Amino acid sequence: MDKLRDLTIKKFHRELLDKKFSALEITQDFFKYIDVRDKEIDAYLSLREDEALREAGAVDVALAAGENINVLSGVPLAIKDNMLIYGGPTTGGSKILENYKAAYDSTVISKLKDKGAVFLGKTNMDEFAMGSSTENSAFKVTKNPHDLTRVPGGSSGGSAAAVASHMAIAALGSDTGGSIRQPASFCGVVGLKPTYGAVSRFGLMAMASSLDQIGPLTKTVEDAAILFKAIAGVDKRDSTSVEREYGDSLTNPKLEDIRNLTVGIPDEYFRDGLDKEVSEAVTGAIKDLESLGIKFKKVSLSHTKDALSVYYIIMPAEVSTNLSRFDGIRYGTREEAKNLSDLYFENKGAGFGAEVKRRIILGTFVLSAGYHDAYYAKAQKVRRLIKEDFEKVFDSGVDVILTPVASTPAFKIGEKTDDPMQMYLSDIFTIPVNLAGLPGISIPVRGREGKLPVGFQLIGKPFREADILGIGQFYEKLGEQQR
Amino acid sequence: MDLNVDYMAKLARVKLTEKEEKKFSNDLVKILDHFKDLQAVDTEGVAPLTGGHNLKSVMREDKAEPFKDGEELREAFPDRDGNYLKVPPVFE
Repeated sequence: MDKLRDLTIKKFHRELLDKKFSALEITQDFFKYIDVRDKEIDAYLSLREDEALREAGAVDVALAAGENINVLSGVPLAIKDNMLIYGGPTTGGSKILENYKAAYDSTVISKLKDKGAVFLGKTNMDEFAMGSSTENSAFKVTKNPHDLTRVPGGSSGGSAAAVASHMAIAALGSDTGGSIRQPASFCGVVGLKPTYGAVSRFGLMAMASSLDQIGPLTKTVEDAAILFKAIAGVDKRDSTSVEREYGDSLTNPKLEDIRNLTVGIPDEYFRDGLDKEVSEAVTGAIKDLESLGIKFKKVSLSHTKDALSVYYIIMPAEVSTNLSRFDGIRYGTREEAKNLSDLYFENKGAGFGAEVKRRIILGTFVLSAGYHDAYYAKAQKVRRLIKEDFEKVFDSGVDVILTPVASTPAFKIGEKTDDPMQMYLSDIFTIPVNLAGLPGISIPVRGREGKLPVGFQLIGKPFREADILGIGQFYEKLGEQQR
Repeated sequence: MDLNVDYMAKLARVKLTEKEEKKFSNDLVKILDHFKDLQAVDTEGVAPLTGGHNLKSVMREDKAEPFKDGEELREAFPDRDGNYLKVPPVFE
């Protein structure tokens, strides 16, 4: 167990090369540990033991043959269950896909397979990524490894909990309004939401296509950089994806570059409603970063208060369109029906959970005749204003923006399930980043051993993941010097 | 607020239970109430932002590529007759 606890991608690679263990042995150790630990955490929906052991064995064979291996070769990963891995179950956390088996690999999985990564299993999530606590899963409730009575956050709660409880070295999640960063904050791990377009969404179950991005959940910022670099890039199967040359700066930031960055602190993110513990933790992180020589500046993002409304109009609108494909015709469960129209009603009625239905109803409403302009079109205009707020700040000499990730630490299981508005409010600090298409990262505030984890968020310019990952990597090193 | 949950469910072809219909009506009143502030935002002359970024349209050759042998997709059919997908009658 201790061996698994200490492993990062970087350390795993070094020790694999040093022959301290074989990829197969480590993979077996992970499954043994998952067998015990996941009984209380419930992070995984399905395991890929046979396939993973085969994948790990292939890495050992390549090593023995003297081949050069990638830094991700043999690394045991957990994958959110809305990304397709060929031949295996992919449920999206929904009953409607309970028996679905993926017919192809998502692009992120193909890229990681090429590098020899090992996939341990698929992780629990809110149904079709709709939720902030993983309680909306049709199958089980994942617990926060730091306190089993609390939620791991969501919707990538299974991935965050798996990494935090050492049941995987790293994981992939998806983030539409905070679904990577908020669970990362609640579980005390690193979570990166890349720039919109940086990572292909092919093979990711679409929730809200103009907001969704895949990203890593890891133990260290350095690992997040490694995993991000491996999955980024243009893909002809996702026309919104783009090619960027990231170079060495992602994984090897230079302190002199980092010191030249100016970080903006937006007043709107530090007002009432922010938990005192979170406020103190984030202030502590700012002090630490000042000690690195980074300059700070007060900034304003005046449309922040409108972001939640904009999000809860645009996202359900896209949800109501995207989820119409679950009609029981070509795949998924099929209910008894006397005719085709009846089948649609019966199938969605029986297959979808309450939150999914609520969002479909809301999305249908904001797109319906007579309401489209007042809601959907209005929200799209305010979305532009939110994006322009960020652009103005970045144009004023600010490189990175620092905010809290969530207004509280992890809340109790069941605390917010009856009141959707309360649940929605838990994403207010992460939503603007998706609306503006920017990269954002949640990094655990250090020195909180024995307390519930709290993350701080760094928001970067488009395709400047290197800035936020760079600051994060030096923040992490501060901790190492003191230990 | 005139959100008729029953009518929206019909448009979206989703069957709701009575309990769901009642709960959603209550929930959505609260959610729509939250949207009110948005109407006060000045958006005169602002163009709608319709996607995730400002990038230009991407063009590619319209060329079909075979997808494996297709059987993987057919295996997922809820009902089939040989290589055909079976669906309930469109008309009763």
